[in-house]
Amino acid sequence: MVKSLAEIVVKESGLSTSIQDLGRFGYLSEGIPISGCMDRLAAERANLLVGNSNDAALIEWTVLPPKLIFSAPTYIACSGNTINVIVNNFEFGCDTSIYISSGAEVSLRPAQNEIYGYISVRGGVQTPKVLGSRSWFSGITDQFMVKKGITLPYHAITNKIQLNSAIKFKLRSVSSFIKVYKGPEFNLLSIEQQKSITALAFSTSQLRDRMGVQLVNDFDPHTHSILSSPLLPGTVQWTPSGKLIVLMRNAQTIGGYPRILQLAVEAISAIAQLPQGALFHFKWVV
Amino acid sequence: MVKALILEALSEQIQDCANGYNSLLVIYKKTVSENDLKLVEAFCASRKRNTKITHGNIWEVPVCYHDSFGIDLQTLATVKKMEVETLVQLHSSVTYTVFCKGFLPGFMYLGGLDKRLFIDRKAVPLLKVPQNSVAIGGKQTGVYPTESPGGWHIIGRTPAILFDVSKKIASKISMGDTMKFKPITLTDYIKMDRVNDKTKLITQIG
Repeated sequence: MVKSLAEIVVKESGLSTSIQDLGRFGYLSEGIPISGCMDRLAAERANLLVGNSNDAALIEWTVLPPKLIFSAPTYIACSGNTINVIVNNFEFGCDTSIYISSGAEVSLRPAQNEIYGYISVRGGVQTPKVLGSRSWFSGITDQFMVKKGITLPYHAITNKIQLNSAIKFKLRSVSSFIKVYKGPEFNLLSIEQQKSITALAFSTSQLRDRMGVQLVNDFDPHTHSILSSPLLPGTVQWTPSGKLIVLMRNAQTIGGYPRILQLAVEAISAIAQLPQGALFHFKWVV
Repeated sequence: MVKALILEALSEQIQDCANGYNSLLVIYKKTVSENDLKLVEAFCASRKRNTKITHGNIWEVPVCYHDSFGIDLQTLATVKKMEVETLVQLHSSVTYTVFCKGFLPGFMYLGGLDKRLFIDRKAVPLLKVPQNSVAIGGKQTGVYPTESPGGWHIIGRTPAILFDVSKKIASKISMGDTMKFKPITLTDYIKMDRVNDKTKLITQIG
Protein backbone atom coordinates (compact mmCIF):
# COMPACT_ATOMS: atom_id res chain seq x y z
CA MET A 1 0.00 0.00 0.00
CA VAL A 2 1.36 3.39 -0.95
CA LYS A 3 0.85 5.89 1.80
CA SER A 4 -0.02 9.29 0.43
CA LEU A 5 2.34 11.94 1.63
CA ALA A 6 1.44 14.80 3.90
CA GLU A 7 2.96 18.18 3.14
CA ILE A 8 4.48 21.17 4.80
CA VAL A 9 3.32 24.36 3.10
CA VAL A 10 5.88 27.15 3.26
CA LYS A 11 4.06 30.32 4.27
CA GLU A 12 7.24 32.33 4.73
CA SER A 13 10.58 31.06 3.48
CA GLY A 14 12.94 32.52 6.08
CA LEU A 15 16.53 33.17 4.99
CA SER A 16 18.60 30.69 2.95
CA THR A 17 16.31 27.88 4.10
CA SER A 18 17.07 24.45 2.61
CA ILE A 19 16.67 20.72 3.16
CA GLN A 20 19.80 19.00 4.49
CA ASP A 21 20.86 15.64 5.85
CA LEU A 22 24.33 14.42 6.82
CA GLY A 23 25.54 14.91 3.25
CA ARG A 24 26.41 13.25 -0.02
CA PHE A 25 29.32 10.87 0.25
CA GLY A 26 31.28 9.07 -2.44
CA TYR A 27 31.23 11.75 -5.14
CA LEU A 28 34.15 14.01 -4.21
CA SER A 29 36.07 12.67 -7.22
CA GLU A 30 33.29 13.98 -9.44
CA GLY A 31 33.68 17.40 -7.88
CA ILE A 32 30.43 17.14 -5.92
CA PRO A 33 30.63 18.81 -2.48
CA ILE A 34 29.51 16.81 0.57
CA SER A 35 26.90 19.43 1.64
CA GLY A 36 24.76 18.54 4.66
CA CYS A 37 23.84 20.36 7.87
CA MET A 38 26.10 23.27 8.85
CA ASP A 39 25.68 22.51 12.57
CA ARG A 40 25.57 18.74 12.56
CA LEU A 41 25.28 18.49 16.35
CA ALA A 42 22.12 20.62 16.49
CA ALA A 43 20.60 18.79 13.51
CA GLU A 44 21.25 15.38 15.05
CA ARG A 45 19.68 16.55 18.30
CA ALA A 46 16.49 17.66 16.49
CA ASN A 47 16.30 14.34 14.67
CA LEU A 48 16.82 12.21 17.78
CA LEU A 49 14.07 14.09 19.63
CA VAL A 50 11.43 12.92 17.14
CA GLY A 51 12.82 9.39 17.02
CA ASN A 52 14.58 9.72 13.66
CA SER A 53 17.96 8.29 12.75
CA ASN A 54 20.60 11.00 12.67
CA ASP A 55 20.73 11.01 8.86
CA ALA A 56 17.05 11.95 8.33
CA ALA A 57 16.54 15.04 6.18
CA LEU A 58 15.37 18.18 7.98
CA ILE A 59 14.84 21.89 7.43
CA GLU A 60 17.82 24.20 7.94
CA TRP A 61 17.31 27.97 8.14
CA THR A 62 19.69 30.89 8.59
CA VAL A 63 19.13 33.83 11.01
CA LEU A 64 15.50 34.31 9.91
CA PRO A 65 13.21 31.27 10.49
CA PRO A 66 10.49 30.13 8.07
CA LYS A 67 6.77 29.95 8.84
CA LEU A 68 5.21 26.58 8.05
CA ILE A 69 1.80 24.88 7.91
CA PHE A 70 1.60 21.10 8.44
CA SER A 71 -1.18 19.29 6.55
CA ALA A 72 -1.34 16.22 8.82
CA PRO A 73 -0.38 15.15 12.36
CA THR A 74 3.26 14.59 13.23
CA TYR A 75 5.94 15.44 15.78
CA ILE A 76 8.56 18.11 15.24
CA ALA A 77 11.58 19.38 17.18
CA CYS A 78 13.53 22.59 16.76
CA SER A 79 17.17 23.14 17.65
CA GLY A 80 20.02 25.56 17.01
CA ASN A 81 19.26 29.25 16.79
CA THR A 82 15.86 29.06 18.55
CA ILE A 83 14.35 30.36 21.79
CA ASN A 84 10.69 29.47 21.31
CA VAL A 85 8.55 27.51 18.91
CA ILE A 86 5.06 28.87 18.37
CA VAL A 87 2.42 26.34 17.31
CA ASN A 88 -1.03 27.89 16.75
CA ASN A 89 -0.22 30.63 19.28
CA PHE A 90 1.04 28.20 21.95
CA GLU A 91 4.69 28.55 22.90
CA PHE A 92 7.05 25.63 23.31
CA GLY A 93 10.76 25.46 24.06
CA CYS A 94 13.46 24.34 21.65
CA ASP A 95 15.12 20.93 21.97
CA THR A 96 11.86 19.24 22.86
CA SER A 97 9.45 17.10 20.84
CA ILE A 98 6.20 18.89 19.95
CA TYR A 99 2.95 17.29 18.74
CA ILE A 100 1.61 18.97 15.61
CA SER A 101 -2.05 18.60 14.72
CA SER A 102 -3.50 18.72 11.25
CA GLY A 103 -3.31 22.22 9.79
CA ALA A 104 -1.11 23.64 12.56
CA GLU A 105 0.92 26.74 11.86
CA VAL A 106 4.50 26.75 13.14
CA SER A 107 6.70 29.80 13.57
CA LEU A 108 9.87 30.32 15.59
CA ARG A 109 11.51 33.00 17.66
CA PRO A 110 15.22 33.06 16.81
CA ALA A 111 17.81 33.39 19.58
CA GLN A 112 20.10 35.68 17.58
CA ASN A 113 23.29 34.53 19.24
CA GLU A 114 23.63 31.74 16.70
CA ILE A 115 23.17 31.47 12.93
CA TYR A 116 21.61 28.15 11.91
CA GLY A 117 18.37 26.59 13.13
CA TYR A 118 16.79 23.20 12.46
CA ILE A 119 13.23 21.83 12.28
CA SER A 120 12.98 18.06 12.23
CA VAL A 121 9.80 16.17 11.40
CA ARG A 122 9.09 12.58 12.43
CA GLY A 123 10.24 10.22 9.65
CA GLY A 124 12.22 12.99 7.95
CA VAL A 125 11.41 15.32 5.06
CA GLN A 126 10.76 13.15 1.99
CA THR A 127 12.14 15.34 -0.83
CA PRO A 128 13.86 13.25 -3.54
CA LYS A 129 17.20 11.58 -2.89
CA VAL A 130 19.84 12.44 -5.49
CA LEU A 131 23.08 10.44 -5.46
CA GLY A 132 22.28 8.96 -2.07
CA SER A 133 21.39 12.18 -0.23
CA ARG A 134 18.52 14.63 0.19
CA SER A 135 20.83 17.59 0.85
CA TRP A 136 19.95 20.43 -1.48
CA PHE A 137 22.77 21.70 -3.67
CA SER A 138 22.55 23.85 -6.78
CA GLY A 139 23.24 21.80 -9.91
CA ILE A 140 22.58 18.48 -8.17
CA THR A 141 19.08 18.72 -6.72
CA ASP A 142 16.25 20.45 -8.61
CA GLN A 143 15.69 22.85 -5.73
CA PHE A 144 18.39 24.51 -3.68
CA MET A 145 16.52 27.07 -1.60
CA VAL A 146 13.08 26.97 0.04
CA LYS A 147 10.73 29.50 -1.58
CA LYS A 148 7.44 30.87 -0.31
CA GLY A 149 4.49 28.73 -1.37
CA ILE A 150 6.35 25.47 -2.07
CA THR A 151 5.45 22.24 -0.32
CA LEU A 152 7.74 19.73 1.38
CA PRO A 153 6.53 16.12 1.65
CA TYR A 154 6.60 14.00 4.84
CA HIS A 155 4.87 10.91 6.23
CA ALA A 156 2.05 11.75 8.64
CA ILE A 157 1.86 9.64 11.79
CA THR A 158 -1.05 7.25 11.60
CA ASN A 159 -1.56 5.93 15.12
CA LYS A 160 -1.09 8.26 17.98
CA ILE A 161 2.37 7.59 19.27
CA GLN A 162 3.54 9.37 22.38
CA LEU A 163 6.75 11.30 22.24
CA ASN A 164 7.78 13.31 25.25
CA SER A 165 11.45 13.82 24.81
CA ALA A 166 13.49 16.82 25.67
CA ILE A 167 17.19 17.47 25.94
CA LYS A 168 18.82 19.82 28.36
CA PHE A 169 22.41 20.59 27.65
CA LYS A 170 24.96 23.09 28.70
CA LEU A 171 24.97 26.03 26.32
CA ARG A 172 28.02 26.10 24.16
CA SER A 173 30.19 28.62 25.89
CA VAL A 174 30.41 31.21 23.14
CA SER A 175 33.36 29.87 21.86
CA SER A 176 36.64 30.78 23.01
CA PHE A 177 38.39 27.90 21.29
CA ILE A 178 38.13 26.22 17.91
CA LYS A 179 39.91 22.86 17.96
CA VAL A 180 42.17 22.12 15.01
CA TYR A 181 44.66 19.64 13.60
CA LYS A 182 47.67 20.60 11.49
CA GLY A 183 46.75 20.77 7.81
CA PRO A 184 48.77 19.13 5.00
CA GLU A 185 50.62 22.40 4.20
CA PHE A 186 51.13 23.50 7.83
CA ASN A 187 54.86 23.33 7.29
CA LEU A 188 54.72 26.19 4.79
CA LEU A 189 54.26 28.40 7.86
CA SER A 190 57.49 29.72 9.40
CA ILE A 191 58.23 28.74 13.00
CA GLU A 192 57.00 32.16 14.18
CA GLN A 193 53.83 31.83 12.10
CA GLN A 194 53.23 28.34 13.49
CA LYS A 195 53.28 29.88 16.96
CA SER A 196 51.19 32.91 16.15
CA ILE A 197 48.39 30.92 14.50
CA THR A 198 47.27 29.74 17.94
CA ALA A 199 48.34 32.90 19.78
CA LEU A 200 46.29 35.36 17.70
CA ALA A 201 42.58 35.97 18.23
CA PHE A 202 40.35 35.67 15.17
CA SER A 203 36.68 36.26 14.53
CA THR A 204 34.21 35.44 11.78
CA SER A 205 33.49 38.11 9.17
CA GLN A 206 30.22 38.86 7.40
CA LEU A 207 31.60 36.99 4.38
CA ARG A 208 30.12 33.63 5.22
CA ASP A 209 27.77 31.14 3.65
CA ARG A 210 27.39 27.39 3.25
CA MET A 211 30.66 27.31 1.25
CA GLY A 212 32.95 28.99 3.73
CA VAL A 213 33.59 31.52 6.48
CA GLN A 214 36.22 34.20 6.00
CA LEU A 215 38.00 35.24 9.18
CA VAL A 216 38.78 38.74 10.40
CA ASN A 217 42.33 39.57 11.31
CA ASP A 218 44.42 38.85 8.30
CA PHE A 219 47.33 36.52 8.70
CA ASP A 220 50.64 37.18 6.88
CA PRO A 221 50.53 37.39 3.07
CA HIS A 222 52.54 34.79 1.18
CA THR A 223 53.59 33.63 -2.28
CA HIS A 224 53.33 29.85 -1.85
CA SER A 225 51.20 28.03 -4.35
CA ILE A 226 50.35 24.36 -4.35
CA LEU A 227 49.01 22.04 -7.02
CA SER A 228 45.23 21.82 -6.70
CA SER A 229 44.50 19.39 -3.86
CA PRO A 230 41.41 17.90 -2.19
CA LEU A 231 39.51 19.97 0.38
CA LEU A 232 37.08 19.06 3.17
CA PRO A 233 34.55 20.90 5.32
CA GLY A 234 36.69 22.36 8.10
CA THR A 235 39.83 22.89 6.02
CA VAL A 236 41.44 26.30 6.67
CA GLN A 237 42.85 27.86 3.50
CA TRP A 238 45.56 30.54 3.59
CA THR A 239 45.15 32.89 0.62
CA PRO A 240 48.12 34.83 -0.86
CA SER A 241 46.75 38.10 0.54
CA GLY A 242 46.83 36.52 4.02
CA LYS A 243 43.14 35.90 4.46
CA LEU A 244 42.09 32.73 6.27
CA ILE A 245 39.00 30.93 4.98
CA VAL A 246 37.36 28.09 6.90
CA LEU A 247 35.66 25.89 4.31
CA MET A 248 32.18 24.73 5.20
CA ARG A 249 29.78 22.01 4.00
CA ASN A 250 29.30 23.25 0.41
CA ALA A 251 33.00 23.91 -0.15
CA GLN A 252 34.41 23.18 -3.56
CA THR A 253 36.19 19.83 -3.58
CA ILE A 254 39.59 20.98 -4.84
CA GLY A 255 41.66 24.09 -4.28
CA GLY A 256 45.10 25.59 -4.81
CA TYR A 257 45.62 27.56 -1.58
CA PRO A 258 47.75 26.04 1.21
CA ARG A 259 45.64 24.00 3.65
CA ILE A 260 47.22 25.02 6.94
CA LEU A 261 44.66 23.74 9.46
CA GLN A 262 41.81 21.23 9.67
CA LEU A 263 38.99 21.79 12.16
CA ALA A 264 37.91 18.94 14.43
CA VAL A 265 34.43 17.60 13.66
CA GLU A 266 32.66 19.41 16.51
CA ALA A 267 34.58 22.61 15.76
CA ILE A 268 32.94 22.80 12.31
CA SER A 269 29.52 22.95 13.98
CA ALA A 270 30.82 25.50 16.51
CA ILE A 271 32.25 27.90 13.93
CA ALA A 272 29.09 27.60 11.82
CA GLN A 273 27.14 29.08 14.73
CA LEU A 274 29.74 31.65 15.82
CA PRO A 275 28.23 35.14 15.55
CA GLN A 276 30.06 37.78 13.56
CA GLY A 277 32.77 39.46 15.58
CA ALA A 278 32.99 36.93 18.42
CA LEU A 279 36.65 36.35 19.19
CA PHE A 280 38.19 32.87 19.31
CA HIS A 281 41.56 31.17 19.33
CA PHE A 282 42.62 28.07 17.44
CA LYS A 283 43.64 25.31 19.82
CA TRP A 284 45.41 22.05 18.99
CA VAL A 285 43.55 18.80 19.48
CA VAL A 286 45.70 16.95 21.95
CA MET B 1 45.59 3.84 -9.85
CA VAL B 2 46.41 3.85 -6.17
CA LYS B 3 43.03 5.36 -5.36
CA ALA B 4 41.09 2.48 -6.91
CA LEU B 5 43.34 0.00 -5.11
CA ILE B 6 42.88 1.67 -1.73
CA LEU B 7 39.12 1.83 -2.21
CA GLU B 8 39.07 -1.85 -3.09
CA ALA B 9 41.30 -3.01 -0.27
CA LEU B 10 39.74 -0.87 2.47
CA SER B 11 36.19 -0.42 1.19
CA GLU B 12 34.63 -1.31 4.54
CA GLN B 13 36.45 1.40 6.44
CA ILE B 14 36.40 4.16 3.86
CA GLN B 15 33.60 6.56 3.09
CA ASP B 16 35.17 8.47 0.21
CA CYS B 17 38.47 8.95 -1.52
CA ALA B 18 39.43 11.85 -3.78
CA ASN B 19 42.56 13.14 -5.42
CA GLY B 20 44.12 16.39 -6.56
CA TYR B 21 47.05 16.55 -8.98
CA ASN B 22 49.56 14.94 -6.66
CA SER B 23 47.68 14.27 -3.46
CA LEU B 24 45.08 11.90 -2.13
CA LEU B 25 42.32 12.41 0.44
CA VAL B 26 40.91 9.41 2.29
CA ILE B 27 37.78 9.86 4.43
CA TYR B 28 37.22 7.12 7.01
CA LYS B 29 33.86 6.18 8.45
CA LYS B 30 35.24 6.06 11.97
CA THR B 31 38.09 7.60 13.89
CA VAL B 32 41.35 5.96 12.91
CA SER B 33 44.54 5.34 14.81
CA GLU B 34 48.07 6.20 13.70
CA ASN B 35 48.49 2.51 13.07
CA ASP B 36 45.65 2.40 10.53
CA LEU B 37 47.30 5.24 8.65
CA LYS B 38 50.65 3.48 8.66
CA LEU B 39 48.93 0.48 7.08
CA VAL B 40 47.70 2.61 4.19
CA GLU B 41 51.13 4.17 3.83
CA ALA B 42 52.73 0.75 3.70
CA PHE B 43 50.10 -0.38 1.23
CA CYS B 44 50.81 2.58 -1.06
CA ALA B 45 54.55 2.06 -0.77
CA SER B 46 54.21 -1.59 -1.71
CA ARG B 47 52.39 -0.60 -4.90
CA LYS B 48 55.10 1.77 -6.05
CA ARG B 49 57.17 -1.10 -7.34
CA ASN B 50 54.68 -2.21 -9.95
CA THR B 51 54.41 1.02 -11.85
CA LYS B 52 52.13 -0.29 -14.50
CA ILE B 53 50.87 2.59 -16.58
CA THR B 54 47.18 2.24 -17.08
CA HIS B 55 45.62 3.70 -20.18
CA GLY B 56 42.18 5.16 -19.73
CA ASN B 57 39.60 5.62 -22.44
CA ILE B 58 40.01 8.25 -25.13
CA TRP B 59 37.06 10.55 -25.79
CA GLU B 60 36.11 13.14 -28.37
CA VAL B 61 34.02 16.18 -27.46
CA PRO B 62 32.59 18.46 -30.20
CA VAL B 63 33.28 22.19 -29.76
CA CYS B 64 31.97 25.12 -31.75
CA TYR B 65 34.70 27.78 -31.78
CA HIS B 66 32.38 30.53 -33.03
CA ASP B 67 32.53 34.18 -31.94
CA SER B 68 29.01 34.00 -30.55
CA PHE B 69 30.11 31.33 -28.04
CA GLY B 70 33.84 32.04 -27.73
CA ILE B 71 33.44 35.58 -26.47
CA ASP B 72 37.15 35.93 -25.63
CA LEU B 73 38.41 34.23 -28.81
CA GLN B 74 39.26 37.43 -30.73
CA THR B 75 40.87 39.17 -27.75
CA LEU B 76 42.91 36.10 -26.90
CA ALA B 77 44.09 35.76 -30.51
CA THR B 78 45.10 39.43 -30.53
CA VAL B 79 47.00 39.10 -27.23
CA LYS B 80 48.74 35.97 -28.53
CA LYS B 81 49.44 37.65 -31.90
CA MET B 82 47.99 34.75 -33.87
CA GLU B 83 45.08 34.10 -36.20
CA VAL B 84 41.89 32.74 -34.58
CA GLU B 85 42.25 29.69 -36.85
CA THR B 86 45.72 28.97 -35.45
CA LEU B 87 44.42 29.29 -31.89
CA VAL B 88 41.60 26.84 -32.61
CA GLN B 89 44.02 24.48 -34.32
CA LEU B 90 46.41 24.57 -31.34
CA HIS B 91 43.56 23.92 -28.90
CA SER B 92 41.91 21.12 -30.84
CA SER B 93 44.97 19.18 -32.01
CA VAL B 94 46.15 18.16 -28.54
CA THR B 95 45.03 15.10 -26.56
CA TYR B 96 44.34 16.24 -22.99
CA THR B 97 44.57 14.19 -19.79
CA VAL B 98 41.91 14.44 -17.07
CA PHE B 99 44.03 15.06 -13.96
CA CYS B 100 41.20 15.53 -11.50
CA LYS B 101 37.71 16.86 -11.09
CA GLY B 102 36.45 19.59 -8.81
CA PHE B 103 35.60 23.28 -8.53
CA LEU B 104 32.11 22.52 -9.89
CA PRO B 105 30.35 19.15 -10.08
CA GLY B 106 31.82 17.46 -13.16
CA PHE B 107 34.46 20.12 -13.88
CA MET B 108 37.57 18.43 -15.29
CA TYR B 109 41.05 19.83 -14.86
CA LEU B 110 42.65 19.08 -18.24
CA GLY B 111 46.40 18.99 -18.66
CA GLY B 112 48.36 19.14 -21.89
CA LEU B 113 47.53 22.63 -23.16
CA ASP B 114 49.97 23.96 -25.79
CA LYS B 115 52.41 26.42 -24.16
CA ARG B 116 51.55 29.05 -26.75
CA LEU B 117 48.03 29.22 -25.26
CA PHE B 118 49.02 29.73 -21.61
CA ILE B 119 47.32 32.86 -20.27
CA ASP B 120 46.73 34.33 -16.82
CA ARG B 121 43.19 34.22 -15.49
CA LYS B 122 41.10 37.36 -16.02
CA ALA B 123 41.64 40.04 -13.39
CA VAL B 124 37.88 40.29 -12.93
CA PRO B 125 35.98 37.00 -13.22
CA LEU B 126 32.83 36.84 -15.31
CA LEU B 127 29.79 36.45 -13.04
CA LYS B 128 27.95 34.11 -15.36
CA VAL B 129 29.95 31.88 -17.64
CA PRO B 130 27.35 30.07 -19.79
CA GLN B 131 26.93 26.32 -19.32
CA ASN B 132 29.15 24.18 -21.60
CA SER B 133 31.65 26.99 -22.28
CA VAL B 134 35.12 25.79 -23.24
CA ALA B 135 37.79 27.97 -21.68
CA ILE B 136 41.49 28.45 -21.01
CA GLY B 137 42.94 29.51 -17.64
CA GLY B 138 46.61 29.48 -16.69
CA LYS B 139 48.15 26.32 -18.10
CA GLN B 140 44.86 24.48 -18.24
CA THR B 141 41.72 24.16 -20.29
CA GLY B 142 38.30 22.89 -19.34
CA VAL B 143 34.55 22.93 -19.88
CA TYR B 144 32.08 24.61 -17.47
CA PRO B 145 29.46 21.85 -16.87
CA THR B 146 26.99 24.33 -15.35
CA GLU B 147 26.60 28.10 -15.46
CA SER B 148 28.89 29.62 -12.87
CA PRO B 149 31.19 32.54 -12.15
CA GLY B 150 34.59 32.01 -13.72
CA GLY B 151 37.86 33.74 -14.55
CA TRP B 152 38.95 31.67 -17.53
CA HIS B 153 39.01 32.92 -21.14
CA ILE B 154 36.06 31.53 -23.07
CA ILE B 155 36.89 30.26 -26.56
CA GLY B 156 33.92 28.09 -27.56
CA ARG B 157 31.01 25.93 -26.49
CA THR B 158 30.17 22.24 -26.70
CA PRO B 159 26.64 21.03 -27.38
CA ALA B 160 27.46 17.87 -25.39
CA ILE B 161 26.27 17.37 -21.81
CA LEU B 162 29.28 16.31 -19.74
CA PHE B 163 27.54 15.87 -16.42
CA ASP B 164 24.03 14.51 -15.84
CA VAL B 165 23.02 13.40 -12.34
CA SER B 166 19.99 11.52 -13.68
CA LYS B 167 22.39 9.01 -15.30
CA LYS B 168 23.78 6.08 -13.40
CA ILE B 169 27.25 7.36 -14.20
CA ALA B 170 26.98 11.16 -14.03
CA SER B 171 29.97 11.78 -16.27
CA LYS B 172 31.35 9.39 -18.89
CA ILE B 173 34.85 10.77 -18.79
CA SER B 174 36.82 9.58 -15.76
CA MET B 175 39.96 10.79 -14.14
CA GLY B 176 42.96 9.39 -15.98
CA ASP B 177 41.11 9.28 -19.29
CA THR B 178 42.23 11.37 -22.22
CA MET B 179 40.17 13.52 -24.54
CA LYS B 180 40.27 15.66 -27.68
CA PHE B 181 38.15 18.60 -28.77
CA LYS B 182 36.71 18.29 -32.28
CA PRO B 183 35.91 21.62 -34.00
CA ILE B 184 32.38 21.82 -35.41
CA THR B 185 30.56 24.50 -37.38
CA LEU B 186 27.69 26.58 -36.05
CA THR B 187 25.31 24.56 -38.25
CA ASP B 188 26.61 21.32 -36.69
CA TYR B 189 26.17 22.84 -33.24
CA ILE B 190 22.54 23.75 -33.90
CA LYS B 191 21.87 20.25 -35.24
CA MET B 192 23.57 18.56 -32.26
CA ASP B 193 21.80 20.85 -29.81
CA ARG B 194 18.49 19.32 -30.91
CA VAL B 195 19.54 15.78 -30.00
CA ASN B 196 17.53 14.24 -27.14
CA ASP B 197 20.33 12.70 -25.13
CA LYS B 198 23.22 15.10 -25.40
CA THR B 199 25.51 12.96 -23.28
CA LYS B 200 25.76 10.77 -26.39
CA LEU B 201 27.54 13.56 -28.26
CA ILE B 202 30.66 12.54 -26.36
CA THR B 203 32.16 9.73 -28.41
CA GLN B 204 34.70 7.17 -27.38
CA ILE B 205 37.54 6.98 -29.91
CA GLY B 206 39.87 4.63 -28.08
